[in-house]
Amino acid sequence: MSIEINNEVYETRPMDCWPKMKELRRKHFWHTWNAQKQGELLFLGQVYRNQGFLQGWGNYANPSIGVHFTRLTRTPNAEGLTHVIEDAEEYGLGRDVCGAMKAHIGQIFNGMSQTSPQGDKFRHDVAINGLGCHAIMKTTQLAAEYMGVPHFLIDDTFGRHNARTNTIEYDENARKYWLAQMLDFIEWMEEKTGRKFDDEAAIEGLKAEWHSKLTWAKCLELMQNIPSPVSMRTAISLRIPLTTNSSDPEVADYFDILYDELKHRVDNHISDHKYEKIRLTHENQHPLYRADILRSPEKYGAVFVAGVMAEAATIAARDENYHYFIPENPFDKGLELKSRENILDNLWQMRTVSTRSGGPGTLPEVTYHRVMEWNASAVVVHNDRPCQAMMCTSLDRDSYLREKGIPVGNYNSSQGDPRDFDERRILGPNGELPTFYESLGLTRLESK
Amino acid sequence: MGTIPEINNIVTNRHDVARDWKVKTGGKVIGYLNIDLPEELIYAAGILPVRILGSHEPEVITDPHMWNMMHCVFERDCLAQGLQGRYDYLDGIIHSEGDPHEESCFLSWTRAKPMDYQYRLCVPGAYGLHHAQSFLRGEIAHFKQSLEEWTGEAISDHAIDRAIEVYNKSRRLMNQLSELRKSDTPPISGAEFMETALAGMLTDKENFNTLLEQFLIEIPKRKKEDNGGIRIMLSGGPNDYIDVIKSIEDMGARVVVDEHDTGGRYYTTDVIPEEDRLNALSARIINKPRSALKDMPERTRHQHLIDLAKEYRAQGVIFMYTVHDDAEQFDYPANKAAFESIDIPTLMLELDFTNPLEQFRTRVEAFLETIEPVGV
Repeated sequence: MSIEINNEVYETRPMDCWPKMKELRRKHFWHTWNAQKQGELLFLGQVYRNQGFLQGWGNYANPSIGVHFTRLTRTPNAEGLTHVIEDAEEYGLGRDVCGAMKAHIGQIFNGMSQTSPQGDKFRHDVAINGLGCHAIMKTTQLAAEYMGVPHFLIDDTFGRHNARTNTIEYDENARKYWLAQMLDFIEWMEEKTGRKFDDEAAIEGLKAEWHSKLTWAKCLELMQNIPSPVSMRTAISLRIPLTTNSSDPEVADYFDILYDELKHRVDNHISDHKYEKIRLTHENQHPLYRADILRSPEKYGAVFVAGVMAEAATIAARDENYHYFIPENPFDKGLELKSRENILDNLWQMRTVSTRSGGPGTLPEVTYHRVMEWNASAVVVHNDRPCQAMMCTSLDRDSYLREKGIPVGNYNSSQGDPRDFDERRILGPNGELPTFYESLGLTRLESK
Repeated sequence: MGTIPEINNIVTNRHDVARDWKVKTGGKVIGYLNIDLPEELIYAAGILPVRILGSHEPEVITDPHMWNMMHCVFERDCLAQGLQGRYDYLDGIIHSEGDPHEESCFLSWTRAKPMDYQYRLCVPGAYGLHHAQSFLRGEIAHFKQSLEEWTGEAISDHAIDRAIEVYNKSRRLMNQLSELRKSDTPPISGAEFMETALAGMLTDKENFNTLLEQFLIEIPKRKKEDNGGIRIMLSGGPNDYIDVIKSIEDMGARVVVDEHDTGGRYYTTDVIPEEDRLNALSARIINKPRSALKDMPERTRHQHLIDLAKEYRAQGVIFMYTVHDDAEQFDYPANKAAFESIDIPTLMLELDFTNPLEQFRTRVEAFLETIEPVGV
């Protein structure tokens, strides 16, 4: 199948709100180191499914997989990252364990996660987890044990996949289970931290979280336009405040500014890349220490415009036909949360809006529709060696796309472990990605 | 024919055994990929549940579905069997959610070869959670309803009671067999025990119980050739590598206990009958010794392993898990440390489709040499 090459040349302009993103990112790091000094809680674990709700205990910080992670990825050849991974392996974790999680626990084993740049030592207050990925759950268990931090696990695996209809069912049994856990969690938190849950603060947190996540979903939708106002590489960076704390009102405001700027660029055909000879999607998590991989098609005048990780952490959903849709913000319709039950109902609504999760069961169809909706014509898949969740049915997805006439190119490494990244094999002259781009009819811009 | 050849026949000719059962009874057969399910319900519906296992042969048929450098070899091997058509007699397949590689096996299999009945049982992500049992009870109720809709027949309380009785009897008999391994000169080898355990997952439990009763009668008459040997415990996820276990025992070890889910873990913990039968089934799954994947939020598995090792007087522990089984890899450091704390040495062997038995031999021999034999 031949792919049409678009030879239009677009006006480019840097994003005005880029410095704001960097400011929010910097604030996030410093907040991690100073939160406890300000009397705020410091959470260990992955909390981004409950960011707004946790505001019920006031402002808090959560460094996710380690506040030094990004800095480590920027050391020469990401050697800093390799060192912390080796610390985790010295403890006994095997070579096949998720690289990102080994980087996380390695920073804890060597004390980096508990030390500020000024040398202040601190210990996280509580460890919580609300994710279905077993690697994350097992790592939090280990981290909490190692640090002697109280640990609460919220089981998120309650959606029942119907193998016949390929939908996720959230029935009363699931709702009761989740609700009971959340009520226990509130009680547990009050006991462990000595702080009462403040309904009003949680409501404000939820409002901000809904707003940030839905606005980001709308930003992504703007990227369906030709040209896309930004590439996925840029989008992934612009998204950072969503993952650090979507429930911060300043972050919610940032996403409004971002949306307006992207909309302006769409209206005026402005992009951050000159060409869109071919639009591609990037599937699975890219190597976090080599975000430049998302720029690799740009050398050929092509661009990534979408991918599963851009969609992650939004409240955007897939309908019964696997189509992308953005739910209405319940607060825009005048929703008032008058009780704790209302708060939990609202959180439940946020969590269960999609009946086509984009998880392994629906992966091929969801990816296909993403390609169609973002006007892409080819897909690059990162075979993330140690990530069990991402690799689940990943190859079936590739076959499905090829059957639909969509070219798929693969490269193999891992999202967190630089030792798995073979530069020559992936990006060298005859590497996996250059040869794939060339197979699409593209040529390197420099060679012209 | 003695019992052991019969057991061996069930394991070796598992597909013929299941097909024969179908012909004789006219019933349906369901394959399952994981032991965290209420098998009793399937049995109560008049269906034969059989554990899906691999064949340990090199294969390429899974290459379009699973990266061979990335996926757990056990699940890949199971998928290979399905794609090769070796399980074509199955009417249905069940998978209980949790392990992404198993999920991959289930989804790839059912996409490539859809079955009349395919069900994903939603089980809690961790079994140490307060509400896990009641949630699972609700999911089991849904599963029951789904089975009833498929077969067109209600599953009666009486049938469930009977299934519980049959399954509990299997557990009791296997535990009796296991008890014999506590002796200084166990009358049954570890390989024989593991093969017996597997046989129980591959045939009608009632027939299996008869076989076990017969075996327990035969055992005292067996000629005692055993001189003891170094007492070894095995730990890990699924392990149906009987040849590897035999080879360990050929080197002077005696496998006296295991916690594999193809072995001891499958047979521990009875269903405690109660009026709410589904709750009883749920309770068993939640309360049985936990696998690496479900042992959260608090860690209990290492203590269970220590208890088992002490009970069976294990002198060494061999962790055996399949390549790319990262849940086991997460638990390994804590389990190893637990044994070190009570001065029980450990060795870790990673299992693949086919195993380097000679390399294993060198490693196991070296390991056994570090353990002082009893009485020296």
